[in-house]
Amino acid sequence: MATKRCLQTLARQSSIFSPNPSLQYLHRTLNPHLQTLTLTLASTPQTPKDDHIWHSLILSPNTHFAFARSFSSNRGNGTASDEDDGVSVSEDEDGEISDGEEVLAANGANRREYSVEEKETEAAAIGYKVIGQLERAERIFKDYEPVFAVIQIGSHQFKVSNGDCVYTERLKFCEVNDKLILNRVLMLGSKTQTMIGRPILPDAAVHAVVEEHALDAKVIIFKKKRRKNYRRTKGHRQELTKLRITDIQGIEKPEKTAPAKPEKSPPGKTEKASVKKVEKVTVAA
Amino acid sequence: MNKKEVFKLAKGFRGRAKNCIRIARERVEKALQYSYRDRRNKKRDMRSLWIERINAGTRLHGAMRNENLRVCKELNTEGAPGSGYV
Repeated sequence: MATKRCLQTLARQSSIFSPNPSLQYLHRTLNPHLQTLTLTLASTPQTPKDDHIWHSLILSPNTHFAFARSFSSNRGNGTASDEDDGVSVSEDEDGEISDGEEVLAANGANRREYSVEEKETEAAAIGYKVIGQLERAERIFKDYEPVFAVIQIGSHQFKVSNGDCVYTERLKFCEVNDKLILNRVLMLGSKTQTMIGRPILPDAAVHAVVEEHALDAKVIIFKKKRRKNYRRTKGHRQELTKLRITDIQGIEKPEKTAPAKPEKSPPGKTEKASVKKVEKVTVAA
Repeated sequence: MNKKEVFKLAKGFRGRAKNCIRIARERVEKALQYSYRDRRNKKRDMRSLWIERINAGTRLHGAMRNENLRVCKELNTEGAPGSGYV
């Protein structure tokens, strides 16, 4: 057990020294996880994942090298990415970090399962979103367009339009100010056209930005059995992500005539707009 | 203190239930029990409301909700999502 603790402290210190803040955050969350790993090892060394961990821990000098190797590579990438202040690609960071964590928490619990970049994107696809890029000083908020889309995120469906806020379950693998592309679109609609997917529309994409990762309001869970001296109180805050929808693609948007100057806009434009309003319902094959 | 929390939760109650701790505690406990139960009931109620509306909407177009649902992925009602079953 002493060897395990040595490894833990080594890993902890080596990661804390690295300048990458996200590595530190990951490792802070990893520490209790490592403790739970050791607990499971102490109790039941039977499951295959525990065997793997035993393997990695028994060959201690090799694992030392493995840790050192992985963390040095992380540190190198960490400094490189820290230098580029504005345009840091989050995907590369996450990929490198998770390569390091793969060695530590082999097949552990839910938290550190995204071992490779590819697995990350797979898991993101399960949640029906694709991580785009981080954003800095880009003006992406357009005015309201009269187009809506019906989106599915996880198991919840939303009808969204440009500029809407949506609260979903906490989305892993994305941080604040990440651009997302929600690719599970069930329906698109505008004034002249509606497209219904069976069940999804293949060419549609909805762009969103992660606004914040927040906790819900506190809910008090209270259970009581009368006359039996049983009373339990518990508080619960659900973790949410607030998304802001910025763009809907895949449908023709009606052209906007300038509404601010009705006198100066020629009457020809408004006539054209009214002629275009033909009811069209297309079903995606 | 638990008394302070109880009075905070007892805001807006009727009569002595917002002022006197003995009565307030009973009422607050009942209120929390109701909220636990109703968080589950809310999901049922919302679903029943959606079914009512879908049924009404489809009847406008001449069909009925259960007929509509049989058409598995080709729902043509107003604003209903394609893959959700309601």
